[in-house]
Amino acid sequence: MANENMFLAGNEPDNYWSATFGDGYYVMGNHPTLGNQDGAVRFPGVTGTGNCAEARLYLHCDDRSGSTGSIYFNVWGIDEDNTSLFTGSPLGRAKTTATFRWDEGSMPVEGTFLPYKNVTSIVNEIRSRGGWSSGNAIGFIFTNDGSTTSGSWFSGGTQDVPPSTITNLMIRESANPNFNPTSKSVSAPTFPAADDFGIKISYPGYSVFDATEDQLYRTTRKKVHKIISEGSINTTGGVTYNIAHGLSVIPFVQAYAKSTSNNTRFKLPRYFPVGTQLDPSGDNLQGTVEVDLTNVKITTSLSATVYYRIFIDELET
Amino acid sequence: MTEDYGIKSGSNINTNTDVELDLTSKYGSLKVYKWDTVTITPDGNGDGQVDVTHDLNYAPSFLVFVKNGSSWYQIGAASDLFLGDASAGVFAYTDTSKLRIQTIGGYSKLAATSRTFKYYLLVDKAQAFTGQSNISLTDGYGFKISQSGKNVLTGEEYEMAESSKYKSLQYFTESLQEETLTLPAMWSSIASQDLSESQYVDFNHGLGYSPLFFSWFKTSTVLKEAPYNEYDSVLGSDLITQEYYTDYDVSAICDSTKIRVQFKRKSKFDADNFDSDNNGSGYSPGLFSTNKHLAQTITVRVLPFAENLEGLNNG
Repeated sequence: MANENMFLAGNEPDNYWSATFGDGYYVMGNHPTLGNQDGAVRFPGVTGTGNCAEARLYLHCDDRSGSTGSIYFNVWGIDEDNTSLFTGSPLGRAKTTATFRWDEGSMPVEGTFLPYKNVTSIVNEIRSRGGWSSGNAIGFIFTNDGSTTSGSWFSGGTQDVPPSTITNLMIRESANPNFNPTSKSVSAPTFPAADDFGIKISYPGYSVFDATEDQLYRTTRKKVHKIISEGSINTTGGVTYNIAHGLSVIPFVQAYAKSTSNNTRFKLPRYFPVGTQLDPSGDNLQGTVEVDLTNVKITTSLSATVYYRIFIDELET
Repeated sequence: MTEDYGIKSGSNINTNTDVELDLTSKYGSLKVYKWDTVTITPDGNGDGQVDVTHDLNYAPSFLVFVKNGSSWYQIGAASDLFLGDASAGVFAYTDTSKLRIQTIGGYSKLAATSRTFKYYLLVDKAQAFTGQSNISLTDGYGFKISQSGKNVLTGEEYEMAESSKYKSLQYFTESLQEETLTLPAMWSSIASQDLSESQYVDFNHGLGYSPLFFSWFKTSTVLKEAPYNEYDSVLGSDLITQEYYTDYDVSAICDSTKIRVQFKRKSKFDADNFDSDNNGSGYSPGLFSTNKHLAQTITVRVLPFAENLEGLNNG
């Protein structure tokens, strides 16, 4: 189960209830002709057991025609192990101890969610019930509590489509998933002892007999990467160009791409800073070089000429 | 096919495969033409550049490392880890007459911090080229091995497989090391809007100095070279608004004792901005699962060369 889950009220009419209109909608506030309106919403299939880290309720406003002023209502959970469908008024059902007053200082915008409310204590009270099981339903009851003016109301329900606009309950199960895994350290290798045979070429001015390793141009004590092929290819932007290397191992490779705006060459891989910045020369070509057992894979963000070099030496320990 | 002529060096040249040989005249290797340390003192925006001229007459291959404190980083990507700003970058390119190294300051402008770079200009080409180079062909001593079909006496420098005139990039076979990391899934949400985590592997290289190095990582069958940076957003507009995005930053640095390959994963969701820009209607059911860092098992490899980044120069 994911750490954070969204549960939709969905388009089952019996998941919504309003005092005047019955199934399919919740209406909350002070209706200009109907007066005080109370509502309820039900979320089926709520997974998880025990206390969650946080639960948020997102109520959607589909309609508030002619509304002005402010909306105030009280919110409870329905204190049931598995809230049943609203085939009749749910207002008389047992309410949770946990409750809060929803104080919406201004009218919501049609087609949007009201600012979410934290319903963690309500959800945890229900999920702590002895008969609760993961996958049960959780319901909420809303009763008008002084919405200021006649006409301060809103509604939502099954008419809310697509799913991204459906009233939902968001539950985060565990603590912040921010973490720092333990890092690792690998011991230094043991190098072979110095040889008194072979070939050494030292830097000009340094004795070949006592030059340190980094003062040598070349020595047969150490290895070089050996080039088996090199050449130029023309890539298509966003399309990976595969070059079969025929080695059956993952070899060392190099690649340099030609700028799309001038005659310069960049080493790949090359990635740009976050955002839409260009490099200082105004070129926005980026590219990757990847290798598997069969191919060298070169991908550039734009069509480009790339010069590659493949070595016989495998990158396996 | 193994030839019975030429030069070989290895633990047993009669039985070593081509891969196992330290050196063989059958294949060429990288040859370093110029290498030196240069400095860029950026302007107030963190932008600056330096040019290194050459007379190769073609764009050569190159490697560039930048120093930060006592650590060195091979350039190639923006790095929040190394530069402290994911929008900042260091760049380099070559053309037929120069290597240019550049910095851009990014959002933080990187201050006007003077930065030290170590470059390696290679004889080996970065472009298809068959013309004449401007450099003299021989010192009149030493040894050369030409590429197949090229005259060792008259061939261009870039046509030589080996030449004692140029420094060779060499390594100890034992220096190639590997380690595995396991990272769990992570993602931001309306409840946790700005998450980041990092993990690294330190490879002690035992060389006693800061070496030229390469590093790679593998999460599937494909090996990728570091540095690496991958930015992924839920909405196209996130590139600008940065409301909901993930950033995957792989950096490799070295100092005189170790090569550190570090993985930083960031996931950000700015709910207020997201609400504002999407009229509060963007919380689709899949939103919080489509843009996240999946659990990964990562194979990390490093190869330090014997070359000392703070050693002798030949600019």
